[in-house]
Amino acid sequence: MPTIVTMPKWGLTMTSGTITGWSREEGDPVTEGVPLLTVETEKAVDDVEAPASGVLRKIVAAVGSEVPVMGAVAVITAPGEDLSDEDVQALVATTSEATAAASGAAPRVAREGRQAARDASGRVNASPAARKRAGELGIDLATVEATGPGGRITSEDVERAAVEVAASAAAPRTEVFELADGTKIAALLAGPADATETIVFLHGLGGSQSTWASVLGHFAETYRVAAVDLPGHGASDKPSPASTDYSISGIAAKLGEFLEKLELAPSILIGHSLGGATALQLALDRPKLVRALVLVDSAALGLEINDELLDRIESAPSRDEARRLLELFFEDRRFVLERGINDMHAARNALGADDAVKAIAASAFTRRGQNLVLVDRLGELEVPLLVIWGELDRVIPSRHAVAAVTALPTAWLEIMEGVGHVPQVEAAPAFAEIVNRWLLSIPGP
Amino acid sequence: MVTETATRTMTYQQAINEALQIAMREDPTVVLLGEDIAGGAMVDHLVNDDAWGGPMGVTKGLVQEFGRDRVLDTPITEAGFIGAAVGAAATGLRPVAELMFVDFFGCCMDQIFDQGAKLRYMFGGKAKCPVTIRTQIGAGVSAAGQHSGCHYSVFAHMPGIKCIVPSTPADAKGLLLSAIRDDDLVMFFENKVLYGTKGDVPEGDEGIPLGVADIKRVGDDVTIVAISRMVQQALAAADTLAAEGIEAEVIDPRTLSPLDEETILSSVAKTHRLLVVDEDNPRCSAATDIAAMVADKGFDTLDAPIKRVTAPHTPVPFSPPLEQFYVPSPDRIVDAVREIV
Repeated sequence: MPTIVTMPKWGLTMTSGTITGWSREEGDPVTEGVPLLTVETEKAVDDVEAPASGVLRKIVAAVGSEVPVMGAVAVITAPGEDLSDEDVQALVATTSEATAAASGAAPRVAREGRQAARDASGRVNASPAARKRAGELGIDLATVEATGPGGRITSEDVERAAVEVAASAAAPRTEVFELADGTKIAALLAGPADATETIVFLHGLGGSQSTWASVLGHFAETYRVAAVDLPGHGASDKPSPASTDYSISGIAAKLGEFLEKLELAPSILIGHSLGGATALQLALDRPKLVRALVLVDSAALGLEINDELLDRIESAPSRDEARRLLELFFEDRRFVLERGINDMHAARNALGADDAVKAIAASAFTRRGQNLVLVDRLGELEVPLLVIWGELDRVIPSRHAVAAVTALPTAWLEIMEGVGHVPQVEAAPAFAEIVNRWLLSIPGP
Repeated sequence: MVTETATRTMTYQQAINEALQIAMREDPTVVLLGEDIAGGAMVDHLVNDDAWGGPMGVTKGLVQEFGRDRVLDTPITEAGFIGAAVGAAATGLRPVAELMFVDFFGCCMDQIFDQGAKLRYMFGGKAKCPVTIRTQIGAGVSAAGQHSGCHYSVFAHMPGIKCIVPSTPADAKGLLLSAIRDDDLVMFFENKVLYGTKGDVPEGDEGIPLGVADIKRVGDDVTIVAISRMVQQALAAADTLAAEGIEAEVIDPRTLSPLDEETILSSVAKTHRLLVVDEDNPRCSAATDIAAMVADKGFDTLDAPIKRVTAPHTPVPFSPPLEQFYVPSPDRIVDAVREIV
C-alpha cells in the first residue's frame, strides 16, 4: 500500500511549512523513521521522518514550496509495489481535497456576500429563519454579510457568521494582560469560545509557554487553554529584581491576579517544575481560583535539586550553556535540537531575562536544596491532584512524586518510563492522554 | 423486511381502470354511474358493444365484466345521478360516480356539499356516505372554458369532503382504491392531460393512505409543493435548476384534504424556501392555503418569501397560445425559484 507523506503540524499555531531540502531523490529507498526532508516554519527548521519504509515514488512538493499542514509532499510505495502515475495523482488529489474540505466548505449556491440591506428605519433585512438563528447563536445581525436576494440575510449567512466568530475566538492568539503594578503578562490563548473549562499551563525556570506547544493542540479541541509566560520569562515583562518579588509566592500572587483578569477562574492548573511550585502555592493561597491541579516534575515537593541546574543558571547565558541545560533536561538526546538551543540562548539573553531567572533561582534554590517544600501542606488542598513525573528526571528526582502521593493518598500518580525532566515535550502524546483521561475522571465543576 | 412488489408500466388511464376493476371484484356493493361510462344503453344495436367506456375510455371493458346492473349509463343529469349515488351510499352501496368535467359541479353541488358531505355530521355519525366522485380537471387540450378548470380548491374548502389529486399512474391506482374503500365522500380529480402518461404501477390491491404526501424528488435548496400535473412541470424545472447547482425538493401532497402538513413543514425546515405550484386559480386556493399554513407554522424556518406560481384569475381560454400561457410552465417555476434562492 502506498503511503502519503504529509506536512506535519508542529504546535498549535502552525498552518503551513516551506520545504527546504530533500535528503532522498525519487526512486531512492527510504527507511521508516529516517529523516526524509527538512521543513521550515515561522519559528523553526526541522526534519520530517519517513513515515514508512519503501521507495520514494514521487516528490509532490519541491524545495521552496509552501505546503499547508496535512497537505501531501511525497508518496512512498512499499518495496516491490507498482503504482502508475495516474494512481499517484489520484492519491495526491484525494489528500488535497480533504485538506481543502477541512479548511471550510463553501455554501451550496455560491453568491458574493455583501452588506445587508436596511429599510428607512434602519432595520436590517433578515429572513425569519435568520432572525431566529441569530437569537439562538447570539449573533448580531448588523455584523452579518447577506447573500440572499435583495441583500437579505439568510439563516445560512447567520450560521456562517457564527462559525467565523467561533473560529476567530478559537484561533490561537497571544494576549497581554497588565497587572495592578504595571507588570504585563503574556499568554497564548486558544480553544473553543463556548468551552466551559479553562486549563492554564505554567512553564518551568528559564522556559516559556512554548514548552507546551506539542500538547496544547490536544487540549484546545475541548478546553480553553492559556499558556502563560511567567514574570521574567518569554514575552512577559522582566522587571528588575530590585523592584519586584521573584519568590515563588510572589510569582503565585501575580498569577492569581492574572487569572482574575482572564475571568476564567476557577481553572485547571498544569505546572511544570518551577511552574508546578507556583501552581501549588496558588492553590494553597487562593483555593477559589483553582479547580484541579496537575504537577509535572514539580518543584516544592522535596528537598533535592540537581546542583548542575544551579551551575547552568548561575553561568553567563552562552550558547554552550543553553545546550548543556537542554542536555540536562532531556533524556532522549534527539530533543536537543539546534532550534531549541537557539531559542533557549535567545530567551536567556532577552533584556532583563537573565537577571530575573537568576533572582528566581536564588530565591527558590540553594546548594543545600529547595527552599520551599510544600509536601506537608498537600493535605490542605481542596482540589484533585495529578502528579506526573519523568522516571529518569535528573533535575528533580522522581521519588518526590512518590512522596507527594504518600502525603496525599487521593492524588493520582503517573511515572513516565524512560523520560527525563520534560515529559510534555519528550513524550507529548502520552502526556496529553494521561492528563485527558484524568480530567475526565475527576468531578465536574 | 419490505417485500418488493412487482410493477408493470401502464398509463394513468389504465391504472384508474385497474383500480375500478379490483374494487368491483373485491366488493359487490361497488357500482359505477355516469354519462356514457358503459355506452350504448337502451340502444339495441349498441347494447352489447363497448361503445364508449367514458369520454376518455377510462371505464372501458368494465360493463363487459360486471354487467349493466353495476355499470350504469345515466342521462345527462348531474343533479340526478350524483344525487342517486349519494342516496345509494347512504343506504348501503359504495358507488363511484363520474362527473365528466369538474366544471359541471354547479349542476350537482347541493347533492355533493349540502347532502353527501354533511350526512355523517348531521346524523351524529350514524349515517355514512361512502361515495367516490371521479372527475376530470385541467387545461391543455383546447377544451375551452367550460371543460378545462381545476376547481379542487372549492371542494377542499368544504368540510366532509376528501380531495385527491393524483399525479402519476401508481398514485392514481393506489389512491382510487383507498378512496372507494373510504367511508366518506371523496372527490377524485383526474387530470385529462395525464391520461396518456406512463409509469410503473404495482400489481395487487394495495391502497395508498389518504393524507400522506410523497416526496417526488429530494433536494436541499428549495421546496416545491406541486399539485396534480404541476408535479411533472416542477420535476422538469428541477432538472433545469440542478444544472445551475440548485437542488429542488418536489413534494406531491397527493391529497389536499386531508393535507400532510408535516411533510411540507419538515421539508421547508430543511430548505428554508417554499414555492407552491398550482394550476387552479389563485384566490382562496390550495396554493394560498398551503402558503398560509407554512407562513403560520413554519415562519421561523423561512429564509425567503413564500412564492406561488398559479394560473391567472381568469377562466381557461380556448386559444391554444393563451391556454399555453395560462398553465404554469417549467420556465415560470424556474424563474420563481431563482427569485428566492
